[in-house]
Amino acid sequence: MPGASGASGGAGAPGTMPGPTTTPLGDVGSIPIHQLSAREYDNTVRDLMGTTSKPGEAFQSFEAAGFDTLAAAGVMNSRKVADYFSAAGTLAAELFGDATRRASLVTCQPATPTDTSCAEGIIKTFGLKTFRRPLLPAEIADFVVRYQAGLAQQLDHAGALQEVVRIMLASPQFIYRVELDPDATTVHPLSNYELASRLSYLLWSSMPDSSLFAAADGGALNAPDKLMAQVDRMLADAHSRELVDNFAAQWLGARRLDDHVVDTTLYPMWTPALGLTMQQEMGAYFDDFLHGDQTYDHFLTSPVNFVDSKLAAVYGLPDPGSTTLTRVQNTTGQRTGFLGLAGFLTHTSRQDRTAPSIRGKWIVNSLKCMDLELPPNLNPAPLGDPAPGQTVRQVLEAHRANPTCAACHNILDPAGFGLEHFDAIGRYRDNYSNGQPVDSLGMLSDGTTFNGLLELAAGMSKDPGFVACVARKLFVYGLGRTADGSEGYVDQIVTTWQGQGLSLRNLLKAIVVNDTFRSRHGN
Amino acid sequence: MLTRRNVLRGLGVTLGLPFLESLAPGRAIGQTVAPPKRFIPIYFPNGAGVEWWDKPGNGATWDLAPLLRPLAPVKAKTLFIKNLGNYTWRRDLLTMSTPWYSLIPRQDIGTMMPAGAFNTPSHSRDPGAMLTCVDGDGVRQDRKVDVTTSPVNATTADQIIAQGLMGKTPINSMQLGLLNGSGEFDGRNSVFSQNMSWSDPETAMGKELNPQKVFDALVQAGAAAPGQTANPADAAAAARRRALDQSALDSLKASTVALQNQLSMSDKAELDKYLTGVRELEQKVAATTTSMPATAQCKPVARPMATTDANQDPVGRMGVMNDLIVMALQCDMTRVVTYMLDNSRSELVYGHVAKYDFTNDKPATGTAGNYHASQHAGLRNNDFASITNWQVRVAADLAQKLDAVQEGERTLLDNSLLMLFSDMHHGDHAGFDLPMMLLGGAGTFKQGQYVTLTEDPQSCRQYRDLYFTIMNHYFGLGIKSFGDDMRKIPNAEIAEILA
Repeated sequence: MPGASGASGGAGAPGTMPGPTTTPLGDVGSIPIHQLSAREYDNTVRDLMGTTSKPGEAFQSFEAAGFDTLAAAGVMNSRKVADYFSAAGTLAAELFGDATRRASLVTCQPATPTDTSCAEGIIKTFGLKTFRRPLLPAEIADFVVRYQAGLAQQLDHAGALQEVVRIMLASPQFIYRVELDPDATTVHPLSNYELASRLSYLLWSSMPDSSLFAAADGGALNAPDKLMAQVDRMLADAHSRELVDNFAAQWLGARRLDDHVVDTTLYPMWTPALGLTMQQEMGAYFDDFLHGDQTYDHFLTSPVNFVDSKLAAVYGLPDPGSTTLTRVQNTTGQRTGFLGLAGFLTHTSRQDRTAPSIRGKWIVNSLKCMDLELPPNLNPAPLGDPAPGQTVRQVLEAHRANPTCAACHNILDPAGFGLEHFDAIGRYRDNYSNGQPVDSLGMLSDGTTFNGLLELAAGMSKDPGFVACVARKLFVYGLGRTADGSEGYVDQIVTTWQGQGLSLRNLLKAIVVNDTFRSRHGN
Repeated sequence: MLTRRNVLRGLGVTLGLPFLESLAPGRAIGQTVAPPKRFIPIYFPNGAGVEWWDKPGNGATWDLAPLLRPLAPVKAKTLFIKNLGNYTWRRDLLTMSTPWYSLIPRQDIGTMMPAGAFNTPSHSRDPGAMLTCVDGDGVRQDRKVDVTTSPVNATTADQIIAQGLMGKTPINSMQLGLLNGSGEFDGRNSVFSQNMSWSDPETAMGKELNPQKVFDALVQAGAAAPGQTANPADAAAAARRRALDQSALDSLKASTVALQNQLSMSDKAELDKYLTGVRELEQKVAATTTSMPATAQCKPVARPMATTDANQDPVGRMGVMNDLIVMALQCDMTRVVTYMLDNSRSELVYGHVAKYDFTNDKPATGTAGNYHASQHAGLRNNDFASITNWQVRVAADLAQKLDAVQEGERTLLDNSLLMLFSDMHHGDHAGFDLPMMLLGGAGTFKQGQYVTLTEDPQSCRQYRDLYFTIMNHYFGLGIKSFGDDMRKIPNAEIAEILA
C-alpha cells in the first residue's frame, strides 16, 4: 500500500478532524484517472456551452459497485474515442452556429490578419473552463497553432476558433477528470483545481462554476472551513438536485423503475405514469433529508409521503386533488419511512407478486452495505410459485430447510417478510389474493423479533450499520472507487458525521474534509 | 455544408469489392482462390429452454427439436454439438469441497452433471469467460486490480482470430448488439454482462446497438473513390476537412503524450487506450483519400433510421441488423462479427414474441414475459422457451440470408462460421452441456449432423478446444494454446466435429 498514511492523518492538512476509530485507517486512496460518466458529460457540456443536446445518452455506459460514477466503469476503447470526437465536432458546430452563443465566446476580433492575441485570450478563458484548470503555456501555444491551421484552411476567425473548441472537447483533459501524480506513489494533497472538480462532481455531477473556479484560483480551497462553506453554498444551488437524481436514484433503485414491468392483468391500477410518480416520490423523499431539515436516522421512520392523486389512491390517503407531488403526513398507521414507499416496494417485487428475498436482499445490500455472494457451488432448486392455498413465506421456509440455502436466506428473508403487508405495487393488504392471511413476523440481525413494517423500521434504525452504510455509499459514489482497504477512513467519516448531527449536509461535509477526499497517491 | 451524408448522396452509395472481383490483376484464368472465411459468434443470455432444445440424435440421423425449428431451411448446414462445457478454467476447481468431477443431479431436471460446472456469480463470470475460457476473477487477482469493479478480463477468441486476419479487411472486427435488456450485474462491472469482446485484457470493446452507426461505419470504410466526386469544390472542401481532422488528431496525440508524462503507470496505460482510438481515427481520415474501385457487386442496404431506444421494434431491428451483417460480409468489409442478442441476466420483457405452448405444441395466447424471471420460473416454462425460440429465429434469419448470397461455388453461409451459443445450460446456471450450434464452415466442419461428445468429467471437452479448433483448423493461425484447464489437459482439436 504505497504511501498509506496510517494514523498520521494522511496529507496532514491543518484542521483535520480524525475521530476515534478502532480500524486502521488504511489506504488514503488512489483513484484511477476518472472518465466522466455519460450523465456527467451531458451536464458538463450543458454548463460549459449552454447546450441542451445530450450526446452522452448515446455513449456506451457501464457501472460498477452500483454506480456509473466509478472510475472502473469508465471503459475506454476506440469506439468511445470515435464517439467523443464526433460529439466534439457536433457540439462545436452547434455552439458556433448560434449567433448569441457564438458572441458570448468570440469576444474580440484580431487586429490584423496575423494577430493571434485575441484568439489566445479566448483560448485561455474557454480552456480554463474546459480543462477545469488554467491551461499550461505549451497547451496555449498548441491551440494557437491549431487556430492558425484553421485559418490556413480558409476558415475565418470564428471558424478557426471552432476548430480549437472541437479539439478541446475531444481532449482527455476534458473527458477525464485528471489528477496529477508528480511523484508517483507518495501521498500528496490535491491541487485546488483538482479539489474544485471533486467537489463539483460530487455535489453537482458537473463542472465547477465561476465561483468555485475563483475559490480554486485563490488557492485556499483545501482548508476544511472553505470546503464546508462550499458544501453549504453548492447545496443551495439548483445543481445539487443531482445528488437526488444521480446519487440517490442509483443508490435507492429509483432508476430501476424506468424498466420495471408490472403484470397489469393482476395489477390493473399500474401504469407507466404511476411508475414515474413513484420514482419522483423516492427522489422527493430523499430530498426531504438532503435539502430539508430531516436527519438520516429518521430515514426509515419519517411518516411523510409525496403524493399526487394517483399515488394517494395506492396509499389509501385522501386525494390531494393534484397532479404534482404534495408533501403529506401519512396517518394511515400502515406505513412509515423509506421502506413504505411504493417505488421501493415495487422495484423490489416481481411483475406478478412480491418476493420477500428480493426485498430483503436489497435492504441488506443497499441500506446495510452487506455483500452476500452466492455460495460457489450452488446448485439451486428453482423457487417455485406458491401452490394454491400456500403463501410465499411457506415456499421460502421450505427452501431454508436446506442448510446451504439457509446461510443466505436466513439473512435475506426476515426483512422481506416484514414487508409482506405490501403487494407488488406497494398497496397495503391483510390477505393474499388466494385468501391466506399475511404473516409479517420477522427477526432482526440482533435476534429481536418484529412484526410488520413499523417495527422493522424502528429496529433497523437503531442498527449502527444502517447509518454507516449511507456514508459508505456516498463515499463510493463521490470518490469513484470502492471503500475496500479504506475502511478506517469511512469509519472516520461516520464518526465525524455523528459528532455533528446526522443531516446529509453534515455527511457531505465530513466526506469533503476527510483526507481521502483531499489527497491521493499514484499507482 | 459538406456533410458525409451529402457526399454519399452525391456519390451514390458504393462499397468496396466483394472478394472475387477484387482479386489481384494478372491471376491466371482457372486458378482458384480460397474465399475468405468469417467467424460470427452469436450470443444469447440466460441459457436455453433445454426441455425443447435438445432432441437426441446420432450423426446425420437427427431431428430438429421444437425450439430449433426455425433452422429447418439451413438444417443441412447446421452442426449440433452436445456436451461441450466451459468451466474447467475455475481456479478453485481442484480444491472444491465436493470433488469437482463427482456427478450430482441437477435439482430440477434430474440429469447428472459434474459438481464443478457451477460458477458464481454466474451472470457475470460465465458470459465474461465465454470467449476467454479463463477465470476473469483470477486475472484481476493476478493483476492486483479490484475483482468486483475492474473491467479487466482476457483477450477473447474472436479478437485473437480478428488479429490473425489484421489488414485483410477495412474493418478488423465488429461488435454488435441487438437488444439491450437491463438487469443486475451479479457483483461485477457491468461490462461482463453487456459486452463480449476484449482486444486485450485491458480493453473491453463495447458494442454497437444503433444500426445507423453500423451502416455509416461500413460505408465510411468502403467509401468510394474521391475521383468520383462530381463537384471539384466539394473535393477541395473534403480535402480541407481532412487537413483539419488531421491537425486536430495531431494535437490530441501530442497533448495526450504530454499529459501521460505527469501520470502514474496505470493512468498512463488508460490513456494508451485513448491514443489507440485516436490512431484508428487517423487511419479512417487517411483512408478516405485512398481510392477503392467501386462496383455494384456488393449490395448496400438503405441507410437505417437512427435508433435511440435499442429495445424498440425488435423485429424490425433484427431484420436490419442481419442485413447489415450480410452486407459487411458480402462486401468483405470485415470477417469477424460478434453479435450479442441481449445482455446477460436481461430482464427485458419479450413483448414482441408471441407465446407458443410447447407443451401441447400449439400457439398460446399472449406474448412472452420477463427474460430472466422466466429463466427461473421452473421447468417447461413457455415464456422462457418462446424467448429461446426467438433467439434461434434471429440466427436462422441471418443464416438464411447468408445462404442466399452466392460466393463462387458456395454461399456466403458456407464460407462463414456462425456459432450460436449461450453461457449457461438453463435456469440452473450450469456451465456443462451448453447450448451450442455451428452453422456454415463448409469443408471444415461437419454439416447437418448431431454430434455427441463424451460427458466423462475427466476427459470431456471444453470451449477452449472448440476455439482452438476454429483458430487452427479453420483459420490456420497456428495458435499453441488457448484458455485454461485446471485438469492440465493440453489443447487439442475436437476431431468429432471436423468433416
